[in-house]
Amino acid sequence: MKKGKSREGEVRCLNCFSRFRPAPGVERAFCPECKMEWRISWASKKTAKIRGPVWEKVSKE
Amino acid sequence: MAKMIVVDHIKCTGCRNCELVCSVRNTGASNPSRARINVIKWESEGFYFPMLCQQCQNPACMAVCPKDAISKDDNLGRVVIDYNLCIGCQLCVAACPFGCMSVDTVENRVIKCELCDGDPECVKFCDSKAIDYIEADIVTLKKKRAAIEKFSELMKRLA
Amino acid sequence: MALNRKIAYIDLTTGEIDIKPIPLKLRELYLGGRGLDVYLLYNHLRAGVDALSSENVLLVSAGILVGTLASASTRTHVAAKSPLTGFIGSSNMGGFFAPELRWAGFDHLVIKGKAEKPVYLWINNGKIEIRNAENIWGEGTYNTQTAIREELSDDEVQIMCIGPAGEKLVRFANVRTGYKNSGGRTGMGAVLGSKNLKAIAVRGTMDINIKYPDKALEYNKKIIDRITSTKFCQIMQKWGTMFIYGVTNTTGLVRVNNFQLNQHKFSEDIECESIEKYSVGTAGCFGCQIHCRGKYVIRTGSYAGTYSEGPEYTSQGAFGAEVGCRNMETILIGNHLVNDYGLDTLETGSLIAWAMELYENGIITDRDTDGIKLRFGNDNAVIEMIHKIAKREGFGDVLAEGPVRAIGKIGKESERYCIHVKGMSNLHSDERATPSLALGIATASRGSDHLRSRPAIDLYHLPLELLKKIYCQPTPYDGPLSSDYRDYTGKARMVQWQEMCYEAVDCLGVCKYHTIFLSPNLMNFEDFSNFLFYNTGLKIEPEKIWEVADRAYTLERLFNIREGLTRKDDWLPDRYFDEPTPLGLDIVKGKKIDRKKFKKMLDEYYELHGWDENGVPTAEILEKLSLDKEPTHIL
Repeated sequence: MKKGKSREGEVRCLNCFSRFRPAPGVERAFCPECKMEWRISWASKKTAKIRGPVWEKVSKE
Repeated sequence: MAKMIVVDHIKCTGCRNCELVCSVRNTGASNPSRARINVIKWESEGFYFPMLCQQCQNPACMAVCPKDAISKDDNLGRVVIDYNLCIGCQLCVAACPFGCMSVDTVENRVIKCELCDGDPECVKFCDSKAIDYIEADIVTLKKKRAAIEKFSELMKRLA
Repeated sequence: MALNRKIAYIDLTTGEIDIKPIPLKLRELYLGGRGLDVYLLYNHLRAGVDALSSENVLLVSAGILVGTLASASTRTHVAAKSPLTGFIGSSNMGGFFAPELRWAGFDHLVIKGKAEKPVYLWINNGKIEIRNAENIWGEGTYNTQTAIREELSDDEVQIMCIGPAGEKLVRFANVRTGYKNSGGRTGMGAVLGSKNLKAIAVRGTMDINIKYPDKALEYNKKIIDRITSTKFCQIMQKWGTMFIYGVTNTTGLVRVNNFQLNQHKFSEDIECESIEKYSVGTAGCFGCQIHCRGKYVIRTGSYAGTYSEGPEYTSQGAFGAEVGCRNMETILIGNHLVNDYGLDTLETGSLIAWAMELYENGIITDRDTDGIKLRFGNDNAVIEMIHKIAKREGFGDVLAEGPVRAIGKIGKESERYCIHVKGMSNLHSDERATPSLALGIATASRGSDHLRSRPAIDLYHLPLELLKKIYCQPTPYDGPLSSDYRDYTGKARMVQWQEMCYEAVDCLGVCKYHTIFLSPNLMNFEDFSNFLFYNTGLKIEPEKIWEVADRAYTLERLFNIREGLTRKDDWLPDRYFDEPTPLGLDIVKGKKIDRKKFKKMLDEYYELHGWDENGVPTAEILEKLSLDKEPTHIL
């Protein structure tokens, strides 16, 4: 099952599991579904992953 | 324009898949000592270099062959051995400055990379493109572009 | 033929060497690698021996597809009775040792007895020699390999060796090859040490004939392309296994401060992206296009300028999260040291973390720790303890004994804090919110382990149709499955399936990362079957490959039972059941494993395997798997 062009640049939110596409090269992005903010990193121009949570926001909880 | 195998050793991960597929393509067996390409490693420095025949313009192997068994094939940009003429004296092995003329001890004959007749197996299997098969007349422009790309982000910021 | 590799019996006491062919029948039953190793172990070792005595039997092998066209066909397997757990010792490593062993004409080595003085084996194109190793005894694993290559005047010699930790019989000492590849778990390095066996050096130029070369090349390209086109591969190629930390720490599935927390906040410096300022590239094992091994140079401090390889996800835990540290440099230095000493990274980090929790709770004091302040977050203490454990100095000597014996020395009150199963420590993963992963570590045949059966794709919340496609073949399963990693439903099957998958791939000698481990789109039983056929001519259907795996895994179970394993050993430390997770995403916060549900899942697991309620294989399953007459002494 090849990763289709439609999946390029997509990440899957670790909180609600919905997929979204951050703007290319950004370091932060919000999940459009659950609004959680993530730090993003890029393995290549087309391959993004969630680097981690924004710790300042997590600490408040 | 004939293509050539271009080595970018920085990209080499040392996996030696090239050795494996080369030996299988050419001999039907997995055996790096019968491959026409070998990855030379300095393990404690992480330095890996895929070594194969340079397809010299002025080949030392051709110059020393007493039977004129070695010749240039300009079509494919390679140096080839005519096994009908070769007597196996191995002077070519001594003459090659790169160690890329070697001896296949199973078939008892000298061997070298002949680019798999224009369809090099090693290049097919190298995902990191440490070895690539590119037209000789455009190869250095590609290399220049790759080199400057490393600086291009910095240059854009300075502009 | 790829199938005409030999087995060598080496008696280090007498110096006798006996070389035999491997019968096709055994190949059909066990293939090779880990499968055949457990058969040999069960047949050659009697029950109840001291694992560090000369009576232990050491197996070293290359899987049946090693050196052939099967993506990353690179893996070495090492087995013996484990000096750490007393159960099966089984360890696996990549690099280039196993292919070289096969080009030298051998698939399996059976090493018995004990040499009078330190020796190493020199295996070269069908011949085996026992050589003096007194001048390299005491050397670290990097220098050992350099020295042997110099002595043999050949830079292409591949070496498996132990470091000072194995020589000192640290119970979790590992075996090493290359700059970083390690057979880490279960203390196989100590078994070599107990036999005065410093290293095995191999060099070979013999053919491994490929049965159908064109088909094998074509299929290999197809599978490699499939692997490299996945998102998983893009990420692994750049950051190696360290990318996993981004998923698990973000969620709240990481052990921090031993077991006190399940998320390591503000630990950006140990996230995989932080390796970039140290990285000088990536390296790969034989044949592998994923090349997940990082290469780095330490930039500052007393180790400035040191080149090393790694680190893995395990090290982010061992010298990061578990010990409350947040410095990539500590991980880089720690990784370099344990590799040189020949210590299991995982066990080392987990035991230091345990000791830190004991220290913070006053169960051990400065007097016990030789003045070392074993507090969470004390990077210097971590590095100091690595040295002490490897050399068995002071408190290091206590920890070097492994969890069970160290608990015995420190006292009963230390037991609750120790995160181990069957005497082997757990990875820095916190499985309280993930029942499938918890079941995996409780039941793994070699002790708490994330590589025997981890259904890592459970974390990806995959749709049911995809889960069915994977988990309902090659043998049928019509029970329920669940996409939710917090569920208990269907997880027993997932664990069983992964056990069979990893066992199969360990028999083949192919790297697990190329199978359905960290990505659902990779190699499956059908691919194993095709690779086997094209490379060796052996036609074994996917469901029969499952049967080979089942046979080998069940024999591991029989071995363990023979050494005293019971159902109570397939369990988790109390803290999993008693302490809810304090941190993490809402979906994993406040979670602990439910005893009743876990028991039910374990029962289901036994049933799927054809074992009775005590986890003992029934007469029926033994007959089905042709294990009822073991030991059969065919080889």
